[in-house]
Amino acid sequence: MSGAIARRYAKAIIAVAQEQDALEQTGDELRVLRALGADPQIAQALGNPMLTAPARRQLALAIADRLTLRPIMRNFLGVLADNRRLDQLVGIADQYQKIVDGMLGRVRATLTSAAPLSPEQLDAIVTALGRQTGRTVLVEQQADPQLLGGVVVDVEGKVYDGSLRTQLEALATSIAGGRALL
Amino acid sequence: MRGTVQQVGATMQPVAFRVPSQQGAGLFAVVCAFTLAVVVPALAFAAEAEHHAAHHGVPWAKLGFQIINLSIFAFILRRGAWPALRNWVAERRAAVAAALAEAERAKREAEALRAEWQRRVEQMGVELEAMLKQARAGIAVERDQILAAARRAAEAIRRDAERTAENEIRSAQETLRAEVAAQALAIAERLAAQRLTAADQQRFVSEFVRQLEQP
Repeated sequence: MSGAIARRYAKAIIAVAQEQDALEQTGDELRVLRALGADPQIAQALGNPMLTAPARRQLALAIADRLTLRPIMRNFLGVLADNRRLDQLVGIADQYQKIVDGMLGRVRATLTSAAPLSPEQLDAIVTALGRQTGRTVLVEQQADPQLLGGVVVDVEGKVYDGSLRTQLEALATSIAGGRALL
Repeated sequence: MRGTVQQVGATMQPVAFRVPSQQGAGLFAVVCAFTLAVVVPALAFAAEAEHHAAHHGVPWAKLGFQIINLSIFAFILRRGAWPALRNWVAERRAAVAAALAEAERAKREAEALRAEWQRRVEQMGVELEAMLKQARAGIAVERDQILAAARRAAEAIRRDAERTAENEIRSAQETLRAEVAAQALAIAERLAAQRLTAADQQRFVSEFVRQLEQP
């Protein structure tokens, strides 16, 4: 239910952003708001049912002023406050990103490596993933020394695991199963 | 005097002729003896009386009275005691005959039983031999069954022991493999952390890209 609501608001802000040719900028602002709404304390304040309508609107405008949002986003926050939907900010941002990525032929991936990759390595991986998925890949990098070496890429739930840890664990499982020793 | 005696005999004669059996004849003889025992003294008394009468005269009245008494006595004996006595004798005779027949039958049964037992005793030897033969055969069959069961039990125990030993060996092998795998993994992780270079990381990335580009 909340997913449908978030999707409906996301489509609304996308329509406005397309009119102003500001899909990317709106997306960036929504990502900031998403990070804000993901904070537990702020999320509790945004969803507080004791707040009156003027208080909710005042809170939304204060946030917009603090983040120096464009008028389109300022108005959008005001609408959410009037409709008691400020607690849907995270879902709206996710739906916005998903819909816009689909519209622009993009896919987002999380790349985890034991050590930071060089630009050449990252570019090679992104290119390979683009050929694999047929879409433009937007990569978010993470570091995890537990991987020992290699990389792990998660493309919308589909995992490509090329880490040294996984290979060693597969080898250990093979040894324990008697297929490589004894 | 003589006419009186004939009169008494004529009174008793029809009774004697009516007795059909030997026992009835005996009883009749007893009655006759009793009558004689009564009549003879009466005759003696009559003779004495005649002798006495020779001197003093015959007491005919007394003699006639005694004859009448005797006749009444004989009549009563004939009508009352004689049939009961005759029936008792007949019943006694029938009982004795039945006892004799029963004894004869019992004797025949005893002889048949003795013959049967004699036959059985004679056959007992054969039956005992047959029983012994059957018992020996039964013992042999039971012995074979016990031996077969013991062999099966021993085979089952041997298989269980082999299975247990195989399971223990397999468990030990699995434990050993797991320990070896864990130690190998730990060593590999330590070595990788110590010795992995940028070139190695580049090789991993290149291999990852190569696998991504494979169809």
